[in-house]
Amino acid sequence: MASACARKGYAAIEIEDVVALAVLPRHAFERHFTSKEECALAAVDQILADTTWAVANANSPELTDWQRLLYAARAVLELMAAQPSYARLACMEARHAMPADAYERYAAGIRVIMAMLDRARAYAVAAAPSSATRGAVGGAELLIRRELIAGRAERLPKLLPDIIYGTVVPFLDQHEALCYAELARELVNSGG
Amino acid sequence: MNNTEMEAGARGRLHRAILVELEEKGPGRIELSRVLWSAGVSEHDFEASYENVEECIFAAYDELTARLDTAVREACRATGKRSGWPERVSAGLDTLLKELAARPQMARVLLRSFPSLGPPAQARSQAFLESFGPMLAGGRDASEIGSDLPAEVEMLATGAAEAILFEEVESGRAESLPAMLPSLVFSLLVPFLGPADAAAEMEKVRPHD
Repeated sequence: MASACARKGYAAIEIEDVVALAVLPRHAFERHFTSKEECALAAVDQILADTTWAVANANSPELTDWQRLLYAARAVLELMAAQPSYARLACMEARHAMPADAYERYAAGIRVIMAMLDRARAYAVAAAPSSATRGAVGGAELLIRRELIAGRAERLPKLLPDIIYGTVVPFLDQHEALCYAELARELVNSGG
Repeated sequence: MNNTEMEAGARGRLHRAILVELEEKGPGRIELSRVLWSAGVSEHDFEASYENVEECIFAAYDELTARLDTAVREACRATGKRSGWPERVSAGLDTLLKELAARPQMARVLLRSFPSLGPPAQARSQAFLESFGPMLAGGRDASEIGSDLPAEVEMLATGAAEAILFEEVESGRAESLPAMLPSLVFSLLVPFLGPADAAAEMEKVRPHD
């Protein structure tokens, strides 16, 4: 399903496209799903589960809040780089083209990220509007979509410094935001 | 396909009608006959100008985005040479919000319906968003840390605004977009100016009773 959507877009695909790419007979699809929509929702659920697992795995009790953000963001970018079709399904098709249930799952994922980021408000140097958190995540989303559209998913982890800067600068002094971006750069370069 | 066969008024009506149909019916469910009837355009004239429905939709989208782009750039220029970069950005954003609020259905087309068409439309939509990058690049000169700013700061700012706009339009609040100007000014400027200065600019555009 993810591969089919990446090629033609969710709106244009038929079940035949999905089974052809999966090299499965139609009846195998019909054993598991009653419709294209049901299969697509299951794919979105899988992405959410994988993302939650990746973020949880990146967490550790001894990390500071900022380190958790850093490692979680890296984990998500690496997951997307490894599975670009899934990333497109989650970041673009669920957002624009799929039925309301898929959009709600996408929106729920965004809300979880925003809830994590909202912890940064405790450190804010100026009163940021309530929409600032959504904006902070949105900056990362646009960069991610750009690379996915261009077929450059492998570059996503390298965007970590810019993404970290964009997510923390609404709350922290710019110099501090740049310090966290530099930490992100060191993490990317070290591969650790 | 050259579309000079169709006079400008008819082309405008056709473009609007096909985008309305896209927004109301979704991709893959567009009834061309309904579009042509609504626009007062014959099938013959349509076929003389467009290879297919998708080509017409893309042309309509390009016309919509060109109009928005022109309005935003003119608003930025109209602030005058004495105005600073934050004022120009605020003026351009104010115009964009008013344009979208005045045509909520087109706002939904811009942000949701057109990208739903699939990869080529998503690439076109992405290109439109990225076209605001050069307009924002003046923020590097306005920033105290210009040379240290990350390479993607223009995209971070554009993405911030797009995400907030998307959520408002998706929630049926397109008509209220002008009221979001202060919040959007903050999100657009904060990657360049930092939170304190962005908050100050936000207060400048907040309506005061």
